[in-house]
Amino acid sequence: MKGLKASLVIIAVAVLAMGFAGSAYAYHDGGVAYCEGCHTMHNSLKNTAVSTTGGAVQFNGHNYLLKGSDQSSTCLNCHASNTSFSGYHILSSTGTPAAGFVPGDMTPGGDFSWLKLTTSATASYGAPVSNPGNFHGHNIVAADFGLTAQTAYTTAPGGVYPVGNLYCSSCHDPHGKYRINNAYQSVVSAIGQNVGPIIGSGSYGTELPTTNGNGGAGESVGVYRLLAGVGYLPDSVSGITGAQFVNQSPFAFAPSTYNRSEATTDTRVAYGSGMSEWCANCHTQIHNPNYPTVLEHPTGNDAAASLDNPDSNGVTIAQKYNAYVYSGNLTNTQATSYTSMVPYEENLALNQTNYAALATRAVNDGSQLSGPVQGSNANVMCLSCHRAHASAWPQSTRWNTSSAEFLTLGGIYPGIDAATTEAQGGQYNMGYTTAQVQRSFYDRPSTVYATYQRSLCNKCHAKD
Amino acid sequence: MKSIPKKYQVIFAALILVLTTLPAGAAAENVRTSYLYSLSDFSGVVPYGWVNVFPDNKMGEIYVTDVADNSVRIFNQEGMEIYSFGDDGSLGIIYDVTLDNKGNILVLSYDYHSKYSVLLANFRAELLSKIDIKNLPAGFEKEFRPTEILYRDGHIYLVDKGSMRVVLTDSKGLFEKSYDLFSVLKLEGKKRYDIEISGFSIDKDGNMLFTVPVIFKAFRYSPDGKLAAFGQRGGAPGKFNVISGIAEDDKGNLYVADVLKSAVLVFDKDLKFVTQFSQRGLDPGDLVAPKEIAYQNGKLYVTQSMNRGVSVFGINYE
Repeated sequence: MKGLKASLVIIAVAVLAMGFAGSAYAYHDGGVAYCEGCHTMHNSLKNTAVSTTGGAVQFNGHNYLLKGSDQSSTCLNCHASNTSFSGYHILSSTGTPAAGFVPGDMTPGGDFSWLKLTTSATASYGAPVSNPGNFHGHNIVAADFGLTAQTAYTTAPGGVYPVGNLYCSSCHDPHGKYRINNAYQSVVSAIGQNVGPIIGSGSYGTELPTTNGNGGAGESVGVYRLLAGVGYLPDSVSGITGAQFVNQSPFAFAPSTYNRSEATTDTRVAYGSGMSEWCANCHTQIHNPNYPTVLEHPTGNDAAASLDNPDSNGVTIAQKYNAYVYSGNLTNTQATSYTSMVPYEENLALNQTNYAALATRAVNDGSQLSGPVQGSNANVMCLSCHRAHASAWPQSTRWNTSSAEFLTLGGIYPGIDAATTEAQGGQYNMGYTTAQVQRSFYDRPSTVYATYQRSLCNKCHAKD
Repeated sequence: MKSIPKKYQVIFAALILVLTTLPAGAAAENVRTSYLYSLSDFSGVVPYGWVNVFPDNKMGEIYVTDVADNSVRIFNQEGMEIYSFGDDGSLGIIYDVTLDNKGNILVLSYDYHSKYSVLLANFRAELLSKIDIKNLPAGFEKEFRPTEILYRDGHIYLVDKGSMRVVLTDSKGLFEKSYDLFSVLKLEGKKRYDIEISGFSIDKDGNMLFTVPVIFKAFRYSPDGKLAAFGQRGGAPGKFNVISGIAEDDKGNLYVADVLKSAVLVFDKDLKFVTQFSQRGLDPGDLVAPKEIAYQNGKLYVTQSMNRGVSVFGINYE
């Protein structure tokens, strides 16, 4: 009997082990997921079997044998949810949202649902205020989820990337070929190269490349958010001259829990270097002084964008960032000055030391509040002002830079339902409710700002 | 006659024991499905994307909650809309509804500051009272964000799919028990918010049924802590791609929606695969990324993307 019990225990353990064997605990694990997760193998659209006769009838499915109507729809099959706020979701409205819908996802990149929200209002001085949804971010095409191409442009502003081909895979390499090797270099899997396998995500700084493995190449980790690097050219734009990426994947880390309210603590993404340069893969000419004007804001790992640059009085941008609390209050210190509403880049090149250092600052518990270090040449970047996916505001800015100077009025957020006539002014709320406006600030209470808070441009410029 | 050696007798007995205790899948009834219709109003099919569906088995009605337009619509057994509420905002931002044993509606809603409430409303959805959730353990006040509510035998279940936690209260909202399904699955070293539950329901025996898509598994978890897992990653019939909703029929069969396969998989009560039906496509009866499912009186309700609405399939047995 005792033997039987022991056998049953062994069998139970074996069955349990079989049940979980081979399970991938995170879908991508820093690199390419399993093929069948995105592509149909033997049967395709309408369950039609792959033809044995070859020819055009062989592939009866969607493009690239995807399991969605298009590339983004395939991604959103998992990355969209209207019943779960947290985790890896970046679209909270899978249908058509009604006016007043409050997007639920608060990832650093933003919720693509904002693209579906078009509002309008009347300013307190009588002028109409328009707020078209298709200007709220990157208009990825995802037919299964009601996301359509930008209609105002034909190509990416400042570039040649066609808007009709903008998918998640335009930025994120779904095949995860880009990686950080054990010498802490950005490398890509290519013919003739031995770059080692990817053993984990490169988005959090918790997984490290190793010297293990065959052939001396060691083991790599993925790049931040699978963002593609040099040479990337999705098949859907393979014929477009100039669409191929020329800049490397950015060096950055996020905390592992990042889709969350920031009502009490910030979600701090630690940006090291290369973010703006990476954006320039598609928005190339935005950095060109001839496009479309010569008034472009400096950005990136360039001396012009350094926070160490002083104004005419010798006060640097970093000093202003570190002193700024809110409009009229410049009493903060470097130790507590960080805000994820205006993130910056630390100007840290990818290497082993910086990898570890940067990872310590990617937190969501409020334990890392230090601002830019004077003399470090920390820099402004595209994401200092814009959200990568979408925001509530035109041009995907993190706050309203379009129609009014005040972000709060009399201590409250503006809104069409605001408690005061002043805050109901359409130039301030752009047709949103107070709940939507507060959500655009990731649920921060209005009390973290001045009673009449002006643009957060002032976090760096302190003109208010 | 020479007797069979004792060691063979033991083996033979063990073989009989194994055969007689095998899952009854081979003998299980075949499940036949047929597409019937999609939930409609007088304008035609309601173009729902992913929504929540709740079956009122007593009245034979289906409640559909669409958080995007903050509406709850009620459909009769023939799939026609007969009542709706919520879009006036009087009950907050509604994420899910269920019914108590008196036929009152329990509404899980959020205010504009991301704070959730459980509201009690009558059958006309007129607010009766707010049910305060009391005595939650430390940590739940801050990080618990339920998006699904169920009511069973005098207990309210609140499900936070993101953190994989379930809170059980009595009918007045007094905390009774919590389940941390992330810990139950023993996913040590993994990130809680990278895992998450996708589908969740309670079967007639009070077991929790839930799916965890990133590990390609569905689970049945009994109130006394017994965990059974089923499913295996793959594209062949019976295997899982990315799964979501899960529901039980009257005979104990389990239905699991597979978002990527655009199919619904059927398992018997012993968790043995029986069949799967539907496929990706745009014809009636096809599905595009099925998400939530609910069973009621021989019908299976399946939500999907692409604004294709809630498809209703008939379930028959042979």
